[in-house]
Amino acid sequence: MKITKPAQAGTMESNDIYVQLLPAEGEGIEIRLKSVVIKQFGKQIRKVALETLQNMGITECLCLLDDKGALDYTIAARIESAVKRSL
Amino acid sequence: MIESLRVLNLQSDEQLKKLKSFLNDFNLTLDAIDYAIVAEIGQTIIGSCCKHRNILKCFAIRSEYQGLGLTQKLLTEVAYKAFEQGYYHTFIFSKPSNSEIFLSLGYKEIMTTDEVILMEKGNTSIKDYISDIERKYSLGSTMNGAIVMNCNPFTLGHQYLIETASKQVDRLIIFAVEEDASTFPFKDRFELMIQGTKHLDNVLVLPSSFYIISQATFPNYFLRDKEHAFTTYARLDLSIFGYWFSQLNVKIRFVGEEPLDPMTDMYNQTMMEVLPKYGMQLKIIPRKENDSGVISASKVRALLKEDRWEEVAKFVPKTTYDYLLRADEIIAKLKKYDSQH
Repeated sequence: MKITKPAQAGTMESNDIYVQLLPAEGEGIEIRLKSVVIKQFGKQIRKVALETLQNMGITECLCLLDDKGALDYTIAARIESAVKRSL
Repeated sequence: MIESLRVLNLQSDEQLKKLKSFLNDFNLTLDAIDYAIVAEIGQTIIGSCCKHRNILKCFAIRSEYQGLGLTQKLLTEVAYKAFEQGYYHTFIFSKPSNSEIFLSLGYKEIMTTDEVILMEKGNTSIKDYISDIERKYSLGSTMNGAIVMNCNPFTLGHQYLIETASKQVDRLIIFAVEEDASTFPFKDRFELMIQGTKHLDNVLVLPSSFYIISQATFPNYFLRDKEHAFTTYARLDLSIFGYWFSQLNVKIRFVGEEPLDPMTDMYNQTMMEVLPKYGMQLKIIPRKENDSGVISASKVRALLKEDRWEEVAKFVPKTTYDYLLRADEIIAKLKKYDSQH
């Protein structure tokens, strides 16, 4: 499933993550992550984001993430909201 | 904290007055905005953030309320609004002292001058933009020149400037000012530039993008007020050009001599001061004249207003002339309003 309608979820506040989903120009899922803890948790955040998108059946999108130290379930929840809003 | 966020009604003079007086304490003036949100305690504003299209500005928070997460709340609201309106690439204008805050919120610096900082965030960036055109047009190995032009509309003067400049470099890039603040719409101005330079193989016409004389780099160029603000933004705009566009191997920026318009003249002066810092040279090319003096687009517009078509023909190439014959609606509009550009 492709993301065709842009959608957003989350906030820029501490312990949260701001998710923006846009239709992809290339193919597949592209995740662009900015995080205050990118060195410590960058890999993990990407993994959670990608898994959440894949579990929801998304195959193509541009996913912009602004992380302010969100925990895994926050990340998953925010992405899930954004995907549902884009449908 | 017990602050509340409120989206202002921009139609309300009273609310705007309150915002203006709040911003005044930070030496910020309120220029064009289409959305404003404030944080208040009781009736008192303690923080604000506004936007105009995809440009965030007028950001301020009272010092005693800083560091409590108010920035994040305000910014989130404005970012949501911009996104809802379809702006996926946003800019922030602010004071250089605020750069840390915005960096931590995912904004990237485009340029900092003594007085202002411009940052961006979203699905594209100036770095992507520059490397895309470098690759697409293989600009890496040649010695290039550039001209930024509005061409409202394209005249024999523009053509002469381009021909002269194109002889002095391997490739000449014409950046067509994309901002639609002129009588002739961008789409038409762009097309006329392409047609009017078809005979020159080493000339490339490109849209100017967000990064050259746009509402983002240069709000006051379009507002045309306050000389100080003008030079401030001119310096920002030209620093962006010098720093980023020199990466396209642009070694010379050409301009036409400007005997007529004091604003453009001031812009040219600032160019002379800024560009050499980035290893770019400025070359001023004297204007082409015909038997009635210097050729300029403003003269063409004046002639069009009076339907003096025979004289128009002496000022513009055939491609522009043919277009003007078909441009009834725009000329009717031109006759009705006075536009500075």
